[in-house]
Amino acid sequence: MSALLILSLVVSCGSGEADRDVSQITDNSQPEDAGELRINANGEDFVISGFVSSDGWHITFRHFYVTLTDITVYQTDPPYDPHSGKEITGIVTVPLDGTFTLDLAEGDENTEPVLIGTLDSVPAGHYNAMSWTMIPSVEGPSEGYSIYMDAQAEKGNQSYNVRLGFEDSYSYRAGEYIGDVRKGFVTPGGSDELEITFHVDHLFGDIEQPEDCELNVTSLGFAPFAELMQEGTVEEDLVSLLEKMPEETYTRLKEILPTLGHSGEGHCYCTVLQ
Amino acid sequence: MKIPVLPFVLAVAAYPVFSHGVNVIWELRGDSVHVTGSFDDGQPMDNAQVTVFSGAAPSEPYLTGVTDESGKFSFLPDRVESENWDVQLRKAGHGEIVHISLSDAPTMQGGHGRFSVMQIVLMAVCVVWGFTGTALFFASKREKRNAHT
Repeated sequence: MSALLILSLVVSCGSGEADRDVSQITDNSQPEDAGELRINANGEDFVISGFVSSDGWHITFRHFYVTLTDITVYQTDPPYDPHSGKEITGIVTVPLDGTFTLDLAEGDENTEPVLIGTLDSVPAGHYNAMSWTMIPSVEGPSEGYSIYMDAQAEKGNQSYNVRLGFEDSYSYRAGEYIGDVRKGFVTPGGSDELEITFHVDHLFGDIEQPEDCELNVTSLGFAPFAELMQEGTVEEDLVSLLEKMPEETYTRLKEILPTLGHSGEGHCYCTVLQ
Repeated sequence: MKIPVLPFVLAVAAYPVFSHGVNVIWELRGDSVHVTGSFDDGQPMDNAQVTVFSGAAPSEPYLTGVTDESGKFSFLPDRVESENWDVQLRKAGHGEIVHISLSDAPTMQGGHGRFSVMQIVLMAVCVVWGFTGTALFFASKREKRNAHT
């Protein structure tokens, strides 16, 4: 009888997680064992070199502007899981102050990702989470838009100027950077980097991927935009697209846009701000 | 280009969206870690690049490989090296990393479960309670027996 009682009480306690000390501290001091952390933005080869959409349009970008603010990096334990959708609670939390409008199309395939900013002295450790907000620019060629692309789209004998602007604001929470190399490890006196990555293939698809893969099934391709061409130019924003696009296509566009932001190949939890 | 921070009126209404992605699960069978990756639409992450990192040297790959046609990959972690392992799966621009603590893994074939402090305290209380109850039971019988003598 006693043994049964013991068993039932142990089972009711669940795993050993319940009594874990979840108290967190925020340490923004600059100790001697600090290092440098660079924060980059990257549109990958799709934006730098161009690509062919899922429906066969060759798209090359003259400019691809994004405007970012409220960028913050974190050391979290346990590692932040963006699937949870929870706020990021960091043992160490370091903001990168400022609002930055960046042209991800600058350079060529040999160019390094665009440097947003450098945190010169951050506590050593693994920065395994990051958050940022994408907002409309208040000046310059992308004024009024959080994303603004100036591109050329070609297919057969068709060649269109493309200027697409998206006005919405987005708040992202990302876990660890995922890519060829693991990033975010700052050692005392050392230097590493993190990256905010934009996957424009989520919008237009990628002909190099299988036709029935999720990316190409869910993306729009370029045809819905090409249909809006006037005098060789496609120049639209979300306001005009709402009027001109079929409702289903516009709804899909609005669903896709938040998914452009990543940390490398790591997916994010995104909140659309209106 | 850095521009001045200007006030923005945001978040009048906000709703969450999660980028479509991948799911990676793992389990400990005996001494082996078995990882399975799938896309959000349920398709397996077959032939995905796998990189395993040891907690002892988390920035350097411990081993690399690819998943099978079912999106599965297995490896035998060296528990002497570390109890903590990270496994990253990547395919076609999508990736995920899972963090594995062998110490906290569910007890399975050969797995090493660990009790929390609360569980240990409760077990101790129950054991003491059990012995005390048994002693009182026999003590009570002895008193009754004595009552009849």
